[in-house]
Amino acid sequence: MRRSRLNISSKNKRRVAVTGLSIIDPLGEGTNAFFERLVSGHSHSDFFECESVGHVLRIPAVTCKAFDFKGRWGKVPHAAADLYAQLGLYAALEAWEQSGLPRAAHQPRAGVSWGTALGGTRAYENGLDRIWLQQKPRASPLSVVQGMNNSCASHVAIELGLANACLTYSVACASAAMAIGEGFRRIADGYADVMVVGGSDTPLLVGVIHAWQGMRVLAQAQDEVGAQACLPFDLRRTGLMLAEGAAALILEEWDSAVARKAPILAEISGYGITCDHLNLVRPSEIGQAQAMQDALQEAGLAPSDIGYLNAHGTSTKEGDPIEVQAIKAVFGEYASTLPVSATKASHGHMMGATGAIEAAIAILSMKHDAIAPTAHLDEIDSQCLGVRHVTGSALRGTNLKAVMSNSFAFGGSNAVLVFETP
Amino acid sequence: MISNEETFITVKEFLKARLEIDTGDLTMQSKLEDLGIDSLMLMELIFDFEDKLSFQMPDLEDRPTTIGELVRVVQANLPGASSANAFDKTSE
Repeated sequence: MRRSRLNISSKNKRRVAVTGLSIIDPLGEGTNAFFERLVSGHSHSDFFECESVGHVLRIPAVTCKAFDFKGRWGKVPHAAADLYAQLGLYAALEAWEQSGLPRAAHQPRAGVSWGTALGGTRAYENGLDRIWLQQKPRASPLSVVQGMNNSCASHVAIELGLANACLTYSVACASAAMAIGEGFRRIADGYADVMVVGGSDTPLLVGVIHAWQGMRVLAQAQDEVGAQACLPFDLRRTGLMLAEGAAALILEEWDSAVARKAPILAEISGYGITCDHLNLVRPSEIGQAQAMQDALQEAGLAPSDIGYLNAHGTSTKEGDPIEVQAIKAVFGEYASTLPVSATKASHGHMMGATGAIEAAIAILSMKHDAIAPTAHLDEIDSQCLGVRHVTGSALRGTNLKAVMSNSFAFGGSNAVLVFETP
Repeated sequence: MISNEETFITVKEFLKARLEIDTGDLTMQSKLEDLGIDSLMLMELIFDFEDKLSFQMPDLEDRPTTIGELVRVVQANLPGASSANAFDKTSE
């Protein structure tokens, strides 16, 4: 299958390769081990507890308990790095290492485009604790640089000498997907040759959890170990499951990547973004469908070319059926045979980082020709029927050539990415 | 009131804990810049002293550049000190 790049919209656009990839594994065993667990249907969900006022908060969540920056990269480059920045920096450095790109003190054609919904959450909570609860006269001087949403991108740029754009996108759940897409555009349009793209977020703090609980959209545990809390498309679903984490990709101009014999994992070929402009929280089938259509059009693909769709699938009552309707609107008759899974059932909802981990999963799906199931999907909601839900065990050997990854956000922002085999 | 030596030990403990610096060879002449202590980390360092020693440092007119200057600035501003912001770059 060859993609046409001769239409007007793609004239003079450069092709873009993915040459590095890293996912922060909650169990600390690395990207490949994480993917193997994912395709086996494993859920990384556990219970997370923290002290609140007069009680203990206890929710199903996915944490990076095994995260060890120092063990992998030596000491944290700057003591100012909040956990969200450390997670992102770790992933970025690992992806860069995989790409084989050299390190240099000053790289004017390489930049970073990062997604985060919340930024340095710990800095804010530590500041509140210090001023309000401990009644100290001053907050830490590092509060601003730890808390600012561009902290992670800045640390990545400092460590890798990236002198091109240093961008941060904060678009709720679509943050990382947009960061990836905008990084793609930057290279395609000739403004950069390399972009470190991805996302990181750390929502597991008392204030953030209370905020989400206030919306009544958090998942209730279905079992004693919390493993079946997040149930996208399932009739039993009760809401989304918070998670902390990060993932990074290295995007590189295609011809340069080929010339240096880079390990090309995939080609990023399509990116569609729309805004529902209707409601802050209720998604729109129309906006989501248009974003998928636009991504397909940019990639020059027909709906039937997509071999796997990684759904946004947050396990909310309202969101899941709307996404399925949008998929059916775009894929038509093919929808019933299109393999779809929502991997948040395994890794949870990483807020702004979710688009990055799901893009990485989509790429790994092609690399291994293995589609992860929606973990614990046992009773498909009738409102979510009409696509080929991958359940139980992985779907293997389908000869995946092109995949799509959806990210739909509060505020009505929709971002869809398309990747193809190299 | 704590001594210069005790303040020096507090500085070393902080550097070891926050920046994972090997403090074995640290002296009063050691330059802050060489230890990776930029203006932000210096503020954090002073902030930590304020917490540990229960005092508040006024804004500094001259930024200390060595461990010794930092120790003397802290000493000069501890409760009961004879004068504020009193450190002398030439005294090293």
